[in-house]
Amino acid sequence: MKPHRTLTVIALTASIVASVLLVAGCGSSQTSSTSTGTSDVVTSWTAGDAPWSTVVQSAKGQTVNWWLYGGDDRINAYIDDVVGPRAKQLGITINRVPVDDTATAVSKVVVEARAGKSSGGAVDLIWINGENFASGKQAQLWLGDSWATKLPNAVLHVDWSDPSINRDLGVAVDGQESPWSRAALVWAYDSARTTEPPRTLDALLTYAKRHPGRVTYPAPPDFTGSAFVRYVVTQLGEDRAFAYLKELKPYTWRQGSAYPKSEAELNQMFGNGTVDFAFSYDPSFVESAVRSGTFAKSARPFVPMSGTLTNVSYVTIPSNAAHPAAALVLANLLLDSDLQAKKADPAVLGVPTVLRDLATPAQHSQYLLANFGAPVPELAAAKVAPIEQRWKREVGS
Amino acid sequence: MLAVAAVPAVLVAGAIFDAARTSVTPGISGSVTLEAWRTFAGDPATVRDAGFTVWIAVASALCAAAGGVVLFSALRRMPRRVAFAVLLIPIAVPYVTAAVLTMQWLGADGLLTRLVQHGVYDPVGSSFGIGIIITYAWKEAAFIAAILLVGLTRDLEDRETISRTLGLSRSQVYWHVTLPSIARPLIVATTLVAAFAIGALEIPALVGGISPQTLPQTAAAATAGDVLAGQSVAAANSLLTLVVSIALTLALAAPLLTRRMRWSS
Repeated sequence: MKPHRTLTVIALTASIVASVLLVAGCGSSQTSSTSTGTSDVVTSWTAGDAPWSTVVQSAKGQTVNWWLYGGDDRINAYIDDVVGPRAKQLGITINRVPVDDTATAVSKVVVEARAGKSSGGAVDLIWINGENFASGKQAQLWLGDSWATKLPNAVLHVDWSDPSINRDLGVAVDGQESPWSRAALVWAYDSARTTEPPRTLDALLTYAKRHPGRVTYPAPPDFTGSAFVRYVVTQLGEDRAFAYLKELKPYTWRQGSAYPKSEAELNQMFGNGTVDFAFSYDPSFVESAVRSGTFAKSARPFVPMSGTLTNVSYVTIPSNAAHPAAALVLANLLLDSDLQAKKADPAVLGVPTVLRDLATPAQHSQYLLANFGAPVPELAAAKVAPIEQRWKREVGS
Repeated sequence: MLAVAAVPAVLVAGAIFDAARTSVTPGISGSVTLEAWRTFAGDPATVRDAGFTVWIAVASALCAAAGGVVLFSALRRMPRRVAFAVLLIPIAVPYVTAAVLTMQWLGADGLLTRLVQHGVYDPVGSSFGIGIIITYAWKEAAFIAAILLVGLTRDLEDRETISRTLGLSRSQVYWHVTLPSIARPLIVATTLVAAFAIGALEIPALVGGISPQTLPQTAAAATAGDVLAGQSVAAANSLLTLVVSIALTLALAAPLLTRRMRWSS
């Protein structure tokens, strides 16, 4: 065959293959279940027709594809070195899938749902809360039947009457996600540079005016930057909050013409002395940063006098998960008292527990706060995006 | 030629179809709505960001072209292997690494800033996209220079020699013989750089500012909040980016379509 004709044949063949792939992708085909038996066990258990032991038995030998934020090495180590071995004892393997944003995991589930993939999904478990959970709940992406309230450890240890647990940024959880971790917006200052940190918004504004360029925050929609803006809104109301942020702007770093893009960038700027404060939704971030050398040993955590934003984060199971039984067993394991106690240990993570009957370990680190003050509840999930967009229009531009 | 073009054409057509479908069917139910287009078109930042994207693409491409011509002129007399070895270094640097290098040197916390202590203009995060343009310029100048070197023939050198023999000065030879000879590959390479800069995300995401942003940045940001609605807005954004890219490519490549510079001539 002449080279020209060979090339033509190859190109046409490739075109046909590409077209077939496209048609298959555009269609709403129903893929066959890869774990019908497991799904039946889960359905039976949630309906109360089968005991928990059938779920545990069904989960043996399965691998849970757990998609979660992978930017915190301490959390990764906790999962790999503490949770993983315990899961192995139950016959489950954890495949930790790190993502830079939980929205990536939700997008994956959305794409599969659009394609009609009702089972065998790539995502078995997601560490999630807030808008991402709300979006998925609205689209009916999560496993239902109030599975989270029926987990054995949840029945024993979780106070589902606690509004901080049964509502996720104002959205009813309805048992579609299981609590895993608590968080509080904690600030950091360097005691070697700043004698007394500002503990009110007015004091922060005064500080910024006296020390121009020494205060900043990540630009929304960065998670931490958005949390700061939301905190101001919860304290002042939306309109006054934006008036405050606009008044603060010219005294911030680079006169507000630029903002750090992420918490990591803000931490670096704080660590090298470019700005005087950092903050994070991770209550143990000062401890982590001092250990890693990002912050000086003179760094200290603090919270505003009026309290700080707090929230609970959860794990949820997509309704098309390939390994729902194993995901349920893992979600239950995460509520184990021993694992929650280890998570709260400052030497491990220093993150508060979600269990009602677990005593908070004595804080033996000057880099961890024993008391976060009065908890300030988060704004409703539906308000977050509009506030971020308003910030971009009125403050960021 | 048509057969070879069929493969990418089919893939691109499929991607456009899927983007269009996603832009009008947010959610899972598949119901059609123009809400994403209304949100996207109604946002005053959309026109501003589209203009900013074009500015970044054109400025980056022109700066890279200027740098590429300078590199070409400096390296063309060297042995080819040496010249390409020099050009391979920036070409081989991944775009993310290039952006990080720009930040490390030119950022507010960068090495250059620390060396001179104060008063240095910080292009990273600039609202004019200076950091983005600088990054594309040094990264793509090598690519353009390599394209020009590949097209360099003995015919050009002979014509330059003859021109010098006939009494033209070096600058006259450069402007009237050398540059017209490399104009066609230069335009093609510059257009490629501009087209790439329109659609790329890494460099604007790392060294760009928060406002204005390029269209790819706003598309990525759209999915950070409400994933369902955001995917539709991002799809609408991507289609606009495609239109802008085609328009800009045709505009930059227009000289190639004129009678004097047709490929067939």
